This record gives sequence, structure tokens and C-alpha cells, in this order.
Amino acid sequence: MVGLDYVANAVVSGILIGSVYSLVGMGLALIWGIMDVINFAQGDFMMIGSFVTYWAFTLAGVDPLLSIPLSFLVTFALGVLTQRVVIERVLDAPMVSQITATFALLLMIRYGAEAAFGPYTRRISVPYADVIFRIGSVSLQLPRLVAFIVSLGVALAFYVFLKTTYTGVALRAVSQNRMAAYLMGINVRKMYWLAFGLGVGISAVGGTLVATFLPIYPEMGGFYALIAFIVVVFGGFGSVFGAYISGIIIGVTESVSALFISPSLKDVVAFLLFILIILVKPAGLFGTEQR
Amino acid sequence: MSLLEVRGVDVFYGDAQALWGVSFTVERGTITSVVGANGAGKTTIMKTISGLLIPKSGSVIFEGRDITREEPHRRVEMGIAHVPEGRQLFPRLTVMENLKAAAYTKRAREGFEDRLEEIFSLFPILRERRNQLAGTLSGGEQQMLAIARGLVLRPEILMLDEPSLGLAPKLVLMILRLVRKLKEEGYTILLVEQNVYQALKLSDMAYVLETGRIVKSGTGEELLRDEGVKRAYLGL
Repeated sequence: MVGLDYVANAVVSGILIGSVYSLVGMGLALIWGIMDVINFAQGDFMMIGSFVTYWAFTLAGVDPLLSIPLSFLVTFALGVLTQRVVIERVLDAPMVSQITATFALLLMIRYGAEAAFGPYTRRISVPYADVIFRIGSVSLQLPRLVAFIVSLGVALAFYVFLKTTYTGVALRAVSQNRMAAYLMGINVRKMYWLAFGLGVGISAVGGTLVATFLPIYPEMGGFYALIAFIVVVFGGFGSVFGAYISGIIIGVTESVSALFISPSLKDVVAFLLFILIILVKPAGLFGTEQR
Repeated sequence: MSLLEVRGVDVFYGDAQALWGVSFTVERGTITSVVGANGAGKTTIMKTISGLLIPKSGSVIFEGRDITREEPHRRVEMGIAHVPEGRQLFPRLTVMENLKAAAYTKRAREGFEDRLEEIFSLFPILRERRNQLAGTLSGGEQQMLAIARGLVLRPEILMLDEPSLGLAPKLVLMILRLVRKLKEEGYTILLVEQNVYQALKLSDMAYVLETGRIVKSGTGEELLRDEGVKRAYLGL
């Protein structure tokens, strides 16, 4: 019999980890929604974020939370470069070419990192790693709580950016009608640079956040990319808001199910949920039928 | 100097030539229209001017500057506004957001708030519907929004491609009255209309396009009296 306390704890820890999944998923959703490009290397850009944070901490003693802007900017710049050098050339190419291109990126980044850093698992031990708050019977690890708060802040900032700024509205316009965007004087090419940079940059923030409480390693992107895909399909293709909510739902599903079945099967549960949604609501929880 | 001058442009879609040595001018403060059958190349002309298509030969001169190879967004910044056929709104942005998307350029952002007021007084219904998704507007309202978006761009030349297409007769007249009103307010308009009679009545200058070539030109009145035009387009 599983006690209610355990369930409450699992729900809370699911929300906390889910909020990181959300960030990775939001990045993927943004790129997907605006350019119709499926970025298989999304999880690997997140890994870059983790490693930026790791090296900043290890070499210069920079607190992981202070390295968030650095992690974002480095990955943003790499994203813009990737867009200019690779993605731009396959934007109007058949989907197979796009998939091949982003898959090649995945291999280059993942195994490039492995060649450079070795395949080892690394950890950052922040001084506040073991600080735990208790609310009733629910315990909260400080790094995870911080991750949740930061992720929520980033998601809100991003939402406000897309909703209220001229550039945010222009980005959404580009995603809905490229030709009309040209005619409104929007530099579509630049918007795509921005979209890819932001998309991978946001995921890298997720990478920084997990680095404070989970091991990091060059191949970590594989797991998070898988989650990100579930998040995006679950939340509705290209819906950034949907991605945030569904990341949390998937986090909770995973951690609650781990109480009842072997934790090694938690991904299976996420996938079952995914299949269920596909059957019941193919456009995703917050998706619209047409784009 | 003419505001806009198109000089002998040849435009291709792949191997198929759509425009053959097309030349014409648009003078400041006038309504100029291009009339012709479906597939004659009217939309192609507009796309060549706004930069969506690049001619193989010939040139587009705007305010004395050769802009033939300029990118579309740079042309908008210069004051060329193209309201495309079929409205091409951003369907899942609200009315307000559609207008805001048009205010992206430096040119359009300057005085955007004031121009918004003018636009809303021209189209009161858009003010009412400002928080509604563009995709949910009626056909007439969508066309008004498309034109409004063009006005946000603060155009030196406003190109309207088939603004009355698919609208009920009453709305067609309303849109055409609006075009005249815009001219009175000082806008320069390049109009493509399938409603040839109405277009010619409005126009200071008009060009007849047949299979990618300009075959006739004259003032609106002249073309209205032209026997060939009467027979081919006016059903007289």
C-alpha cells in the first residue's frame, strides 16, 4: 500500500522536474511552430547548457544560477550560427533532408562533446544541494525548487515576450503566414535566426537547471529530447504554452507511476500517456487542428 | 519623376514566362489600375514590385532608385505596401496583433498609435473586433483588416490586389468607395481589380494586361470608351 504522503511527495517532485522538461519542450515547440523544422538536436543543445554551467562552476567557481545568462547566450549564439550555416539551407527542402540535417547536428554535438570531455558522468555539488524544506510531509530540495521557480519565470517572460512585444508578435506572424510577414516588412530570415537561437537557448536554461541536481554527461540529450518530443506532441504542436503545462503533467506522471512500478519503466508510462493522448486528442491538449 | 516606374520587366515562374517586357508608371497621388483576365499576370506585377518575385530582366524604379533586387522587407521600409490577393492575414493573431505585426518596421512604428486611431475611425468595426482572432472575421471584415494593415505600413504607394474579390455586391461598393477616399486623403494607389468597370471609373490611369503583355493604356475614361475594352471586359 502506498501512503498518501508518498503520493504527495511524488506529485511535488514531478512538478519540479516537469518544469525543466517544459523548458526543453518549449524550445522544441518554438522552433517547430515557427519554422516547421523538427530539431532532433534539441536535447544536445540542452546538454551544451549543462556543460557551460559545469565548466563555469568547476573552472571559475561561478554559481550555477549565475551562469544561466551565460548558458543561454552561448547556446543562443550557437543556435543562430546553426540556423545560418545549416537549417537555413534546408528550410524549403523535403522533410527527409531536414531530419537528416538536424540528426547530423545531434551526432556532431553529442559525440563531439563526448570526444572533448570523455563519456563520464559529472556532478556539480552546489553548497545548497542538501538544503531541504518541509511543508507538512512534503519535502522540497532547494535546487529543485529553484529550478522550478526559474523555469516558471523564464516561461512567463517568454510568454510576455511573444504576446506583447513587436518582435514577439512578428515571430508569431512569421509562423502563420511567411509571405504576409515579408509584406509587412518583417525580415523573415532574421526572425528564423532569432527563433532557433531562442529555441535552443531556452532549452539550455533547462540544462543549467538540471545540472544543479542531476548528473550530466555528453549523451544526456537523448533522454531529454525524447521527453521534449512527448511534451510537444502532448501540448499541441507548436504551442509554447501547451508545452509548459504538458511538461509538468509528464513529470508528475513519471514520478507518481514510479511509486507503483519499477522506476526503470517510468518512460514507458510517459509513452503510454502519449499514445493515449494521440488516440483521444490527436491535436494535443492545447493544439488547434490547423496551424 | 514618377513615384514608381516599371521598365521592361520579364518575369518567369521556372521556365514559364509570365510577364513580357512590361512597362508602366504610377504617378504620385493617383489611382492607377491594371486590368485583365485571370492569369494575365496582374498579381505577378504586384509581386515583382513588392519583391516577392525578381525579374529576369528589366527594372523597378521607386522614387528614382533602382530597387529591382532589393529584399521585400527593405521595400516596405521605403514605403511600398502590398495588400495581397486573398487577404493573407495572420489567422490566429487577433485584429490588434495583426496591426501590430504590420508595425514591425521602424517606418511603421513611428506614430503607430496615432495612425491606429485614424484606421479605427476609417473602420470602426475593427475597433470593436480588436481582440478577436482574424481568422474568425467575416470576409468583408478580413478585407478591411488587410487594407488597414497596409495603411499601418505608412505607404508611399498602396498596392491593392483584388480587394473586392469574393465580397457581396454591397461590400464591393464599400471597398471601392474606400479606395477613392484613400486617394482623396493623398494616398497613391496601384489597383488590380476583376471588377473592370468600377476600377476604370475610379482610375486616373489604367493599363490592360493580356497574357503577360500590356496591350493598352490610357486614362480610365479613355479605356471605358474603348471598343476593344468594352467587348472583352465590360460585356457590352
